[in-house]
Amino acid sequence: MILNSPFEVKLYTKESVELPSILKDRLSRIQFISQTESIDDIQEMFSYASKNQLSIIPRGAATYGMGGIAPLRRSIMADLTHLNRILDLDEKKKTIHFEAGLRWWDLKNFLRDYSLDLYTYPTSLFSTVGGWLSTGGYGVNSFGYGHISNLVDSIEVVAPQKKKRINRQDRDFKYFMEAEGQLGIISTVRLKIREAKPSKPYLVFFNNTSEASRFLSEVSKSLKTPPVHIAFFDRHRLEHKNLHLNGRISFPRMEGILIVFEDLASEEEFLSLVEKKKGILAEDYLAAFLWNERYFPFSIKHFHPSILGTETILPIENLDHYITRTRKFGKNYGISLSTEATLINGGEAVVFTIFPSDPKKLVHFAHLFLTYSLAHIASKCDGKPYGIGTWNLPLTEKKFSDKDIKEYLRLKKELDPLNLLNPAKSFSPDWRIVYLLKLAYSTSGLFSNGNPFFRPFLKILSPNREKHQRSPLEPDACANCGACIAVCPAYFTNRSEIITAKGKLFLLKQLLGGSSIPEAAAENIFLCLHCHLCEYVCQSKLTLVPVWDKLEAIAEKTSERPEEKIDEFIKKVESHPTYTKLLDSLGASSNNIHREMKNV
Amino acid sequence: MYKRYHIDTSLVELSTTKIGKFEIMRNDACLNCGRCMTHCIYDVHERDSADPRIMADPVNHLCKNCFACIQNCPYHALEMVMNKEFEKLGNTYWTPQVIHTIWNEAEEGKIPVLGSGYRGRFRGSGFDDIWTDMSEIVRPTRDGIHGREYIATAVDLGRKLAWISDFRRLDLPNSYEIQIPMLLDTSPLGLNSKSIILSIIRAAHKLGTFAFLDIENYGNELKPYLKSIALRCPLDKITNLDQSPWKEVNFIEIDLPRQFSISELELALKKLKSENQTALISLGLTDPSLSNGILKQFKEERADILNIHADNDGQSYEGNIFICDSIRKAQLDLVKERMRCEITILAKGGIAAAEHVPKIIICGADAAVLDLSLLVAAGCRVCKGCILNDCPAEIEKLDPEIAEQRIINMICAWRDQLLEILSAMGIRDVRRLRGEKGRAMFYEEIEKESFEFIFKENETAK
Repeated sequence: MILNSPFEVKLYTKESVELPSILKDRLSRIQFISQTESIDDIQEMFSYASKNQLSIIPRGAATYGMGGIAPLRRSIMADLTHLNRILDLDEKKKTIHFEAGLRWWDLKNFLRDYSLDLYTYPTSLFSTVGGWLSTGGYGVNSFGYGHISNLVDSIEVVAPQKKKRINRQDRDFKYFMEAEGQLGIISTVRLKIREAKPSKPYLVFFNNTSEASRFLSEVSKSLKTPPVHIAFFDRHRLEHKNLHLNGRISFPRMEGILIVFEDLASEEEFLSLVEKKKGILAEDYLAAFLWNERYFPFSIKHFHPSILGTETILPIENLDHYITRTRKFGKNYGISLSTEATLINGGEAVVFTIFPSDPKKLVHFAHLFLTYSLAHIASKCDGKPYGIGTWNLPLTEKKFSDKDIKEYLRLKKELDPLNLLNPAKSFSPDWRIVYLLKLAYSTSGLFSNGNPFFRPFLKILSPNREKHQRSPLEPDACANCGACIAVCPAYFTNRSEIITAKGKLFLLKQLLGGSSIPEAAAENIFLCLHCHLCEYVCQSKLTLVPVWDKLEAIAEKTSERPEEKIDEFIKKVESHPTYTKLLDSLGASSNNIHREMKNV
Repeated sequence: MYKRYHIDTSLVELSTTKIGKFEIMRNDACLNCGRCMTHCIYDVHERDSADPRIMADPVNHLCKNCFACIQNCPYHALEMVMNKEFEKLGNTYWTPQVIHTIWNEAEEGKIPVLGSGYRGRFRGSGFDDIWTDMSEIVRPTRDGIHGREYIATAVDLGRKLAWISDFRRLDLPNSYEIQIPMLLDTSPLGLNSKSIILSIIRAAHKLGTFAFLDIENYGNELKPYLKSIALRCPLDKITNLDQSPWKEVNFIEIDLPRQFSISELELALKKLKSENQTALISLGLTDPSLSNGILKQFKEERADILNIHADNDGQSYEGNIFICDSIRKAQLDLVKERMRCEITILAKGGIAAAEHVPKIIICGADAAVLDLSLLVAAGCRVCKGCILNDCPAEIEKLDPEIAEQRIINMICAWRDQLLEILSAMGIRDVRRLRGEKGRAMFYEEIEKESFEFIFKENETAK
């Protein structure tokens, strides 16, 4: 299916963190969205693109956020989320073979019926498998099971020049991980899976970051049966979580470390270590709550219009230093920074430092600039960027060595000699853009220690730090995480994100910005079952359904209610196999993922 | 040509009887997915007609308590509670359930279904003390309603010959066959509204049975239905009767007071016989113990039918004797007098459900007389006191045709259930069920049989 209305194109290019409009407006246009459902579709798209001199931006669930799907050339965007069939489940060998557009959430749900589970999965559970393989790979349980590439048996890549199957043992395998769609489109994946296992989370509090980071390096190395997941939450990050609690229970103002075991053999050893390191063991319910919050990495979005930040891979021993520096940095510029770190092995952690910002305010632009300064700080602490996308293009050489780049280019030449796929990104950078960004990046370095000229100016402009509950009617309330898409019954029948909560919130944003309802969206506004499922999974924890009623009221002013279409829609939904399956899984058991996912 | 007896039913809804036993509540967790709708076979759940994307409020009175919607709701958005309005219906004998069942029968003329299994109790007082035989329940050819073998529900009213003495005189003057072992009665219906009387009599007319009518309620509008009217008159009024309608009716009942002189009765009966030779003559008694004077009237062929009256709860007016016991006693007395087969026994009062009809027949009645149940079919809630202006069922305003059809519907449902029971017993003619005590177990008697010796021992010990 082709989606080519300007509104849909805008919607599909939207990412969870948007590029500043000054940059975005300079980007080339996406010609249309192509929803590919098979390898043939992809190949057809390739030949169309090369004939018409268009590039191709592969897109999963668009949850990456680093400008990974920003078009730097005139392009077709390939929506791969409909390439999502499960092909084969081998219960004996414990592998599953499926198309890579499948969402992790759907995969996890599917496996649940067989009492099977994933080893690791991303914190944004609504991203696609192919997307995570191409961009990140570290997430929940990464400490225990490592990078996702360790768990992939083989992948199939479709590139303009050829189709290729690559096993984990192959020399080139690692280059296809985190290639950000520049080498080809991952079409199928064979993934290792395992029996479902209960997990037991512990939360330990520390008075300061140095105690916490000492404990971290100890706990990650000394235990005989190590935990599967270790994450550090600094006190400000825990404070964010408090906003969602009712006040009767709350996290103390301390640094917290979440440790999750699947095998409790070393429990005693662990507890004595906690005692020795002067850690304070939190109540079970706090630990459980924090563990459950792994499904809601963006819940802070509920209180702030936009979240900016950096994501870096940092040596654990530098974590303390890093946090001290960022805190000082935050104080200097009047921004409230918070940090979360997920350990990926005995020595490194993926560190996620964020701060709220309001894109409506002038200071937002300065804030964007400050994220580069944060990257500087990380870099001084031996940090590497976690992903490149567009935003981190100046940091490419920090992630890839020259040797790596050579290998990538060799493969690129073999698979995609015309450079159709995601061009002008890390392997074939557009120097004009890179210079611009590099200039910004290196200037930002001057501010990383607190520039005396810039500081007072920024402090005046810095946002009111009072938090208030956000209403979905505010234009930037949506985190663009795509969770609602995976559960929307209307999306099952219509297959355009325009119909989902994400689409409708975007529409609302446009309406509030003064534009009128685009034709493509007018009728779709009414195709909603009022099922509340979007609300239940919303990462920003927004109250959505009343908003749909308001949106309908607005739409009814200009166009009539499409009664016939509504009837047809209901008939379609009621008999739709995907929806039936979803309902079955909702009702299936009491300990199911939907209940876990349901907002607290 | 042979014609099978058939009752025409049609759907007649009443807004006043839309009180369900259960109330289903839809909470905010509802996904509007429509699962409840696909699982409910009673149309309790529908989409909102104004906005089909949203589920409408459940139509509670249609709920049969099957729990399908609640069990299949993917998000546990439905709950069920007892309906408070329902619990206010009726009294201890005419329970909310009894009334609700009759309403359902009257609405559609079908056998109502309810519940998701029965957890007991399995015995109670009154009719619930009797368990009927169902030993032939598995014979498909004798499927009561749809079976190939015809099951007769017809009974004879009036005098039968004790033996044949003259084959040339086989035509009986005083006998009528009715197709259902049920007669209707307009007498105890508190309000005595004209329209409800008319509906009952018209229903009896259509069904080919009789409807009892108190003489003071007779009016010209009932003239077309004279042949279906059983005229009831107190004993003291018989002597000064005018001509019409005595000559034309086929059934006359003398309502006997508690104290009366046999000679007066004999006089009245003789007068009636002389006025109308072909009519069935019935004696309406409240006391089941038959005196010699009464037995004499039957022996000498002045009366043909014995109608034993009880109150609305089935209790006799003298002492606490239940209608079943009254009938069994009268039946036994007549058997002892060797005249049971010649005369007809009717039972009136407390017949509140379909299964009461076969049960009273097992006790010895030829047919049952329905009274209050007819009013319930028309929408009555059996309130404690009956106030015409404040009737919640608006009986007074009811269209007679609606009431008539509802009564017919109910009787069709009752007959169907009678057929079911007969087929389950393996009986092909309801006449053969009369007095068949062996086709039922009387719980009280079983209990007595098993435990009597204990009480006896105790007594002797004293």
